[in-house]
Parts: sequence; C-alpha cells; structure tokens
Amino acid sequence: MGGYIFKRLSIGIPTLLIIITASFFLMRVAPGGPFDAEVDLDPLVRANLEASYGLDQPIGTQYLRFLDGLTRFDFGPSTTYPDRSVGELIADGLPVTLKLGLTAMLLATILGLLAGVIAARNRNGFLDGAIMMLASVGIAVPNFVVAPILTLLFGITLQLLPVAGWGDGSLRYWLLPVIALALPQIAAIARITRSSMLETLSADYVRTARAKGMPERRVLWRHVMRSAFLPVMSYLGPVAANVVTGSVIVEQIFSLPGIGRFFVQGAINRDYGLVMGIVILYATVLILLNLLVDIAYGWLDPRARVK
Amino acid sequence: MSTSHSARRQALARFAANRAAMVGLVLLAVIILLAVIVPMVWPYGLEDASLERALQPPSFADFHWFGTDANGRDLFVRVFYGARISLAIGLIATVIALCIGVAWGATAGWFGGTVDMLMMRFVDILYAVPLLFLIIVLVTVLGNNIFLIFAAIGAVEWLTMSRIVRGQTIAIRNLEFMDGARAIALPTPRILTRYVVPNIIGPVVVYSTLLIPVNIIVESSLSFLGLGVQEPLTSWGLLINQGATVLDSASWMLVFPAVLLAITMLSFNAVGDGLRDALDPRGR
Repeated sequence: MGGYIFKRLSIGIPTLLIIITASFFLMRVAPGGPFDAEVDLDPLVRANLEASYGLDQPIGTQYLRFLDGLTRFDFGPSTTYPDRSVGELIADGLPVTLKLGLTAMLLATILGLLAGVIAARNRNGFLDGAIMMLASVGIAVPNFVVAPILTLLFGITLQLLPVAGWGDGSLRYWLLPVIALALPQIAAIARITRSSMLETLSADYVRTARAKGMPERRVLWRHVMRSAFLPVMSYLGPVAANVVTGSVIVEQIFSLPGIGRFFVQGAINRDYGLVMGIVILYATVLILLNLLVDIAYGWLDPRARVK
Repeated sequence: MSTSHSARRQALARFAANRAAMVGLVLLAVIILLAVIVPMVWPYGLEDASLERALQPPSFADFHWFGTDANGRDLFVRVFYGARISLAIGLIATVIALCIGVAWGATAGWFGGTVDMLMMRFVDILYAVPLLFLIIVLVTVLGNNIFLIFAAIGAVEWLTMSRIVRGQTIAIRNLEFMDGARAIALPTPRILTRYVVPNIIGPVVVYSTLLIPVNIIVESSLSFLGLGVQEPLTSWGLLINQGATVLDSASWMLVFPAVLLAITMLSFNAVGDGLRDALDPRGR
C-alpha cells in the first residue's frame, strides 16, 4: 500500500509542476497585455505600471519569483481588482465555492447512488424506466438551463427562495445553486450505479452467495454494494471536475461571490494573474482529490494496488 | 473494412430497430433542415429590430412564432440562426478533436514504449485541469474570435478520443493479420491507414457522435459566460443568456432556445447510444 501511494504521488506532483509552469509561460507569451486598454497609455506611465507589477524583469526571474510566491499562497497582483491581490480574492471566494461544491457533491453521491440502486433493483420495471429517463434528461440539459428554470419556478412564480445573491450565506440562498449544480451529477452517478449494480448482481460469487441460502439483504450489502460502489467511486474525480466547472456557471447565474465569478471576470479582462492563480488552485485541488480517490480505491480493491 | 458486408448490414438493421435512435435521427434532421432554411426564407432577418415590437409573446399572427426579444428582433429566426452557429461549432470542433485524437492515440499505441509513455503522460497532465478551464484559458490568451473558439474547443476535447484510439491500436497491433502486413514489409503509414484505422473506426464513430453534443454545450457555456460567440452573431448559449436576464417578463426568450438545445442534446445522445449498441451488440 505504501508503494502504491508513493507511485500515485510521483505522478501527481510533477503533473502539478508542469501545469504551473505551462500556465505561467502561456500567459506571458499571450498577445494583449493587461494594460492594452482602450486608452493609449503614456509610455512612461506604462513602464511605471509594468515595473510595479514586476513585468520589466527577465522572464526567468519572474518565473522564480512566481514559484516562490506560490509557496506562501501569494499568486501575485490582480489587474482587474488593483487594490486586491489574487490570493486575497481567492481567500474571499473560496468559502462560498467550497460550500457549494462540497454540498453538491455530497448530495449528488447520495441521491445518485440511491436512484441507481432503486433502478437496478427494479430492472426493466416502471421505476427503472422512469429513473433512467429522468437521468437521460438530467445529463442532456446543461446547468445554465436548469438554473434559470429553477429560479423561475421557486424564485419568481412561487416566491419561495431568493432569485440571486449570497445574502448572509444561509440555506435559502445556496439551496437553488446547489440543486442546479448537483442535478446533472445525480443523473450521471445514477446511471453508473445502475449498470455496475446489474453487472455485479449477475456475478458468479453473488449466485454462490444466494445458492448457499444467504438472506437477500445480506447478499446486497455484503457482496453487491461493495464492488458495485467501485466504479462510482472512481467517477468521483470527474464529478469533482464537473462540479468545479459547473460552479463557474452557477455562480455567474446566481451572482454568488465565489471563485468562479472572479475567474470569468479575469478571463474577460485578460487578467493573467487572476486566471492563472485560479487554474493552479483548481488543478491542485483536483489532483489531491484524485489522489485520495486512488488511495481509497486501492484500499477497497486490492487488485488495483498491483496494477 | 474488415467488417464484412453482411456484418455492416446487420449493424444497420440493429440501428434501424432502435426506436430512440431513429427518433433522434429524425429530430436532428428536422433541426438541421430548419437551421438551413429558416434564415433564408423567414420574413424577418437576424438584425431586424423594431422597438415598438419589443418583448412580444409568441403569436402566429405576424410570424413571431417564438416571440421577440428586447430589441424587437424575431426570436424564431434568431433561434435557428443560432442553431447554425451552435451546430457548426459542435461539428467542426469535433472534427478537429477527431483528427488530433486519432493521430495522437494511434501513434502512441503503435509505437509503444517511451513514445507511448510520454504522449499519454501529456494527456494525463491536461486531464488534471477541467477542460472548460483549459478552453477559457485558450480563449483568454488567443482572443475572442469565432474561429479561435472552434479551434480552442477542438484543441482540448481530443483527450478521451486519443485514449480510446490508443487502447484499440494496442489491442489490434499484436493480431495475426498485422504480423502478415509487417511480414510483406508494408510501410508503416500504409499499415496504419489500411489496417489500423478501419479496425478502430467503430468506437471512434460512436465517441465522435457523443462528442458533438458535448462540444455544443461547451460552446453554449462559453457564450453564456460572455466568453464565446458575441453579438451581432448569436448562438444558443448567447440566446439562453439573454433569455435568463428577462426571465420574469419574457420567459419565451429562455424557453425556446433551451428546449431546442435540450432536444438536440437528447437526440445526439440517443443516436450515439444506438450506434454503440448496433456496432457492439455484446454491450447490451
């Protein structure tokens, strides 16, 4: 197990370093600097501005200073929000985005598993058909369509929940965003759970367990669920990536003060520091999460350790 | 083609027997046809604005079947004009992804060893960043232009394709007829085009069909965020964005493009699933 964890780490850390390096150089060679605004700047003012952001240094020096800063959670300045640093903006937005993302993932996993198990247990029955049809729709309809429809229904027509904004961060403000974020993932997890349950249910060892007279409930919990859960767990990495992507859109729709909104603002304004900082942050989080999933997988399924 | 004539006919028959896939195919044909025809024949043009007709609900009387937007522009023509752009981006980005993915995956799988390792590590690294983020970074760097959006989506969405092709290539590389091809000293490019590509085409076609709706969603997401297609052009994502802002007073502006987008997604998915089941009957 120790060797297995080391092997996963030896893939994750270089990946992160390469992403940091690549995004740094990509942003630096990009055409259109942050000061290419509509107004032509006086060359002297421009030189001063660039000096104050360290853009006049050789690129190697800039890169080393950037790496050094990262170790202290210092992502450099933002040109969109001149009075704030990228680190401050991220620290501001992170709690909102984390709360949304983690709740959505938890909700998606629980409801997705539940729906998938129910569908598999009623194979080809009415419930199975209904759940799988909803799942197809859930996967096909993107969250920038789901979110406005939810707002229309619960915010405007029924007047139950606020249309947008974070308010005091209480449940009524983040309920709709979380649902909009979780729905496509619920659908995807339900599908995977169903097919892996069905596959396991027809496995030889399940037939053996039944043949020896084991009670059905025990067969399910002891033999079916454990291996049926594995594909779902390895899908948690992609779920996290989808939730991160989705939160960019959902935060925009509900005007929530999370990282995703800063990211979009940064992209529109060509604010390299901000965009780069957020990409690096998300890459780190996702690589860590995938590492955890891999470790948990190796723990649950000994076969994965030797591969 | 290694699949014999009758095998192909069987696959076709299986596809034709799949009701969901056939319905999807018909719906797609109708949407594509409307996307081509409507902007040519409709009494209103894309940019025909008229403030006294602003935000009219749908009506059959004056050909505003889908109502009008805040500038009094006819939504019916705009939705199908948007369909042209969204479908075109979905298709072209998929073709780009297809070319890169097949070339990358086939090369890695064919040569194996260090080449394979390095090429697939590159894919793994890109996988670590959510694809929409990579695309947004590319759009930020390259600037916002409709051709660059095609390219940016295609340049990112080939990763899964390359993995599929690589796996298939490795699987067939060691089969006997490949030894035969090597024994008569066929040059590598010819082996690749003559023997490898036809044998991996099935999964590639299936995945491509499923990649088109993904790319349409990506384009729509970008446009929705204001990072994709810009006025005066329009696309489904941009129309949905504009609809979402006037949701309480003019819900038709959201409903029509959203429903059309959803139907297109469901249809592509049904066709893709149908193709997969038809080409690989063991899957069911």
